[in-house]
Amino acid sequence: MNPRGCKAVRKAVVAALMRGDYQHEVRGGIDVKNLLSTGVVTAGQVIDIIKRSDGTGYECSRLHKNIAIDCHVIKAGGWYVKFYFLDPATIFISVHQ
Amino acid sequence: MKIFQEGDQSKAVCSHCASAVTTTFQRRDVPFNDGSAVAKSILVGVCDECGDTVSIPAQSTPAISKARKAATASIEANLPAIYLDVLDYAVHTIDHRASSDFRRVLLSYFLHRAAGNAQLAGKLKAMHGKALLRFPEHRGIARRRLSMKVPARINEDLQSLTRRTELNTTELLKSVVFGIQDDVLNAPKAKLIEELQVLAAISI
Repeated sequence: MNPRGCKAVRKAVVAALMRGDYQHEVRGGIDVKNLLSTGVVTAGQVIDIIKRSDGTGYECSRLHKNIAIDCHVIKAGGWYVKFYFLDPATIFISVHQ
Repeated sequence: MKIFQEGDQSKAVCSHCASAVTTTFQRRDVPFNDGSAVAKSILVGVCDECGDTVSIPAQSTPAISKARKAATASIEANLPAIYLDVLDYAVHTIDHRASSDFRRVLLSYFLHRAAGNAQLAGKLKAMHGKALLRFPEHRGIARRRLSMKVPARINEDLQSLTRRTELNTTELLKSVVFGIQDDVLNAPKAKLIEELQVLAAISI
């Protein structure tokens, strides 16, 4: 069951980062703007960004018009973190400033 | 730390299949989407439906980071703020929707073009003096830091130009921005602007 709502989403994504149990989306190549996938920022730093965020920096929309999966965006401190859950996976689309 | 092995399965969304799919982990060479390099033999999630690479597990990040560092170099300079204004205005003029990364692309384009053309390289030395006349540098002038990652090949172009012009990196960048101001803002050449607009459209 995928989490819903800002609080549950933040809790689930932080847990995935702490466990090191996450993946990154690939579309034709490694996205250089996903700074978590390229190692420019660490999972710990992304956890700090997410913990700093509040409900105002959270957005949820449909990932794709034909796919009933929520796409989550958390903005905090100038950072943009975009990801989705597809049980059991947590997949980051972008982590950039 | 979750560690996947070849043959393990997971799930992801496949953009080619436009659906949620089961993935199987395999080792593959995966390029960076800016074309700068290829991360070789990293573990990736492969779509069981179409065979596309659709995900990368966290454990592949060290190999990706290593490949990225080997393929890129940093260009750093502390320039009078007016040069960054000119550069950003040129970016805006070429395409007001251009990404923030296009500043790097524009500078790289002019560096690469000059490095491959002896006449242009020769002009850069003279341009430095002209740039100082156009933008006099008095004590206490506002300065801004320019920091960008470029492909190793562009860094080689920069090093080659600094040797040939006997300018340091900061002086050379002032000359290049001076050239960009002339070619893009003061006397734009239609063919060059069209070429730059294509680059702006495909830059991420």
